[in-house]
Amino acid sequence: MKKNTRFAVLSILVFLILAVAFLADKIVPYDPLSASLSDAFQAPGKEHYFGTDALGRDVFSRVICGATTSVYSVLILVAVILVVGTFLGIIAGYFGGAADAVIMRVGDMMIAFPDLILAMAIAGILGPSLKNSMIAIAAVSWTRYARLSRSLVLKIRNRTYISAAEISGSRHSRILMRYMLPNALPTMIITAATDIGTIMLSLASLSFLGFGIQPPTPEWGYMLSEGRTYILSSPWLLFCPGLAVFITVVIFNLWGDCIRDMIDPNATEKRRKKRRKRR
Amino acid sequence: MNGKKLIALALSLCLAGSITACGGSTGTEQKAAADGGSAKTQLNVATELTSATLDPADDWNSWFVMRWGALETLTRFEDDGTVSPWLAEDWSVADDQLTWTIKLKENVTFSNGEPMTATKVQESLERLFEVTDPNKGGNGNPWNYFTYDSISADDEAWTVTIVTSEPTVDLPGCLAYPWYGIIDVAGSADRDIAADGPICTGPYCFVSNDPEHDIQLVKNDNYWDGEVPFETVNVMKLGEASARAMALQDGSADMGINIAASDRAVLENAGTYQIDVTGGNRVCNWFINFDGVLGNDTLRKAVITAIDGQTVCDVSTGGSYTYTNNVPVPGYDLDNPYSYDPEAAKAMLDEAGIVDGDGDGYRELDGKNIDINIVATTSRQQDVIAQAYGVQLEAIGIKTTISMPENAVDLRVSQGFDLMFNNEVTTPTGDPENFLKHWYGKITDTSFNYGNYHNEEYDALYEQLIGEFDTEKRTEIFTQMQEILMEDVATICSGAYNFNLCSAASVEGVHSYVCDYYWVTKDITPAS
Repeated sequence: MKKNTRFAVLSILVFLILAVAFLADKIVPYDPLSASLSDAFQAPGKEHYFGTDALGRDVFSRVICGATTSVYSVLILVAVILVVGTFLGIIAGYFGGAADAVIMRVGDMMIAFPDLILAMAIAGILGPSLKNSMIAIAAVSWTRYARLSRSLVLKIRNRTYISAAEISGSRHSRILMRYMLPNALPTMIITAATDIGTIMLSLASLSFLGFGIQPPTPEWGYMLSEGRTYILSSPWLLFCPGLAVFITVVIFNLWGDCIRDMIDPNATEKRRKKRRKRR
Repeated sequence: MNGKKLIALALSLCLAGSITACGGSTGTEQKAAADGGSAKTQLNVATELTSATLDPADDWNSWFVMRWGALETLTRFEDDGTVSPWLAEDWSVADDQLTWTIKLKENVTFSNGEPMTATKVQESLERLFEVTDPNKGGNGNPWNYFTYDSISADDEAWTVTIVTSEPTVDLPGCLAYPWYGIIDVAGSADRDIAADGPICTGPYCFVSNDPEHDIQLVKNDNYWDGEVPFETVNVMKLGEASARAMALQDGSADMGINIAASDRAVLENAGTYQIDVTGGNRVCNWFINFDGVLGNDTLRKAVITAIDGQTVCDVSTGGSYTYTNNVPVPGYDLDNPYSYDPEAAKAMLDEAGIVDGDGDGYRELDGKNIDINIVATTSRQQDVIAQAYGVQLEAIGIKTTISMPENAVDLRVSQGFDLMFNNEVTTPTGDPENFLKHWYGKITDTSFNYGNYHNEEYDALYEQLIGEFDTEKRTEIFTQMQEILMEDVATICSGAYNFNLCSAASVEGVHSYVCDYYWVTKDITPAS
């Protein structure tokens, strides 16, 4: 019951974040792009809850609208990685041989480099934009999903019911959809849910470093980058988007953990046992 | 949260607190020293920029070899723009306008104790031109300012004679440029100049150069121009402007280079810091691509009329720039024919038929939506300026897209822009001739005239500069050239960059020169 309550509370919070991201345009008090140069660097107050930035733009409106960019781009990215990574992993695990060798060796190449460094290199080559930074993160993140789904497929690949399906003339596509995918899917979804926070931070990092979204579109990572210059004189420019990233990442991470506890209680139990053993 | 977790959290907080306290201890100790506990022997400098190597002939490194107090030149710039003697005593030019005789000071020695003879100066200049020879794959940088037919030395008379290939009016100014700093070539022969630095004449000598972390220098015991105030100089690389301000605040730096305007206000309020700001000769201007949409005269003039440069400088950049009224070279008092008036800009566009025909909120030119591609970097708040321009152009119905590529140089040469940032010292040799060459139309490629601007009258004026030794006439020509640029809106000049040096109470004598070649000098001393 306790577990369910936690999940319910976190789901409401996740829903609130998604709703804010979806309705951002309608709930913000000011146009996030509208600037009034003479109103620059106003401290937080009744008129501007989070103050204004160097161009006199309302930081509250920019943080709220930044949710649209940050949250939806992350959700799209996680979905793409989940689908592509899982698909490639299942193909590699099921067919083996050349398909397995090619997919997994490409994957090995990708994980030979630190994630963010490789993503920076890819985004640097493609040019700075939100789309390119998403491509860069997708390119370095799919391997984790491919390796996981492959191992899940290999666990059942030689089971008798798979052999029976093959002998009885089932098509590969049917076996993949009927047996392989359902076997891998719960774990893959858990992984994706727990990854949302991490990927949000990666995307914000690329934007912070100038490889992501281009101004003046509001995005939390880039807002942090802009605000860091004013940490002493106008700290709200740094803290407000920073707090937004922090809260969102924490909520998505806890929510991901909850989903894992709900869908895969065995894994949670195993972890508890391990912990007890260590003690 | 159970009890153990609470204890763990409390311990973590204590640990974080103690780490913070440890971090501050160095500064506290140094503060105590500065307050009179013991004589201060080390100057700590926080800088944004460093050079990859210490070879003055390599790229722009000479600036830093000079800025850290090692390299000196024959002449130097004063704050009023005049050139005064430094290692040289005097100079003169013959009637042929090519032969320059430079008389050297006789008491100058290198840090290895060797006297700076005329031969040493000749060797130093010859090495520079040899290493940078563009015909041998060198960078060719010094060759852009002057070339010579011969350099000869007379050790007994302490004179060096330079015969230039063409009349070079500002040769004394050129010799003040850090590239032409004097090094002991023979004395540096057994050194790795790039890593260890050359033997120079300045008050400090290099010990190590780790451009991403710190640079260490020691006192030059053989310094020719008086007592050197510090035993050691420690230059710390702190890329973030706020980090440099914080280094000053916690006492780990005595001197901070280029503190952001917003942070300067914080230091100013504290009251114990000396803040020296100079509206120098470095400008932020934007090259306009005449082969793109801004090749349209009306659109270009409307753009400049729609930009409130004064507010951008004073408010958006927080005073980091001083508005020059769109005059390209600071110091010239010229009228801007297109002062800020957004309504006039709109009327200008309407009259020329540049209107929003499809009702999307943006104007079209020749049936196509106008989308001005502004290319900027985050350096020196160019991104803020670009966004401010975008906002103001949006207000008159012109769409802008801001790009901040990793390598803007390629885009500049390939003309992949409509407006391209530039941040440049306009009078590097005391004269804006080289800066104004950016709009000389007879440069047929886009390697220097990036916007492909052409104006015959302008070109003729530029050609008049060659061989014109009369300073007043040159100033008149520079004025006329700039008037043409402003009339044609050949560039948008955001303003002159306010360079600054800030120092803590632990040191005295820090001065921000108009020409920002001189940062660590012998005049910086421990507080009395």
